[in-house]
Amino acid sequence: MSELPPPPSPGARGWPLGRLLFGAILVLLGIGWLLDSLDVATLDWDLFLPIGLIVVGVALVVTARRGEGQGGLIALGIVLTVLLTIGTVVKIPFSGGVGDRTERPVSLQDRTYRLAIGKLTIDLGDVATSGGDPAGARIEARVGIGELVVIVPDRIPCVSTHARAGLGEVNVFGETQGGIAPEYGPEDVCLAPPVLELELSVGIGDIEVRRD
Amino acid sequence: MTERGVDRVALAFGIAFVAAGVLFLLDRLDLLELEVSYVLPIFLIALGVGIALGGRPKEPPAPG
Repeated sequence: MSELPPPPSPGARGWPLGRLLFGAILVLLGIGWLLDSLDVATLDWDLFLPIGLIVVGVALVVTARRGEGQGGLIALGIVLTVLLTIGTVVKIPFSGGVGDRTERPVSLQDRTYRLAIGKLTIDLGDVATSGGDPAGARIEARVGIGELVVIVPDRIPCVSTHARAGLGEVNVFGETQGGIAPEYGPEDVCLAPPVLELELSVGIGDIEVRRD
Repeated sequence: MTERGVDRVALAFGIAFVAAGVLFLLDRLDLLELEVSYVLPIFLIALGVGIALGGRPKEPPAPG
């Protein structure tokens, strides 16, 4: 009478690589999020998510030969793809923070502002019109979901504005457009060369450019 | 679905994710402008390919 061979131990086949990578990605994502929340490190989520998608794709290609179930990685990749697709379609930045913020620059220089969710107000009332770049300055501001308000003083008469929203309303110096993908400009409000160029976008929400 | 030890669905999704990730990364770095009219059709094509590959019938077992 022959004896049956002993069943293989659970660890005999080694760690399932797909599950290991899936877990490692989730751990890294959590650590990054936690450090960002604690202000220990600032993560640029705009770059983190696409890089995460590439890592998931590479992990799938590498582990495809092992014939393991890759359901977790595929599901994670689909979630990342959907998030990035939505973010690209309505131009939602994943960085810049959440909440209400007011910026008051004092000089006319190229600047970039980003806010993921909330209200971003750029008050140019304190800007000194002398001493800046005589060729003009460019201010680029992007809000994911919320409101973007730019207050331009009368001291800056020549402004070139390009404003667009994925879904919402765009109001530039009283000219209003609303609905899906409203856009204004680029358009100058005077005949002289503009000294200020505004490039504004909101994913879902409103843009308002007005005089103080 | 595996063939000769290769998970074809995982391979297809992996290649698609890498390609999509590179495109999204270039868009975020402002090196490429992804438009709605490009993104949504490509997303549908990739989804369709993935579903089609996942629905491919398995090879019948060899006799004997």
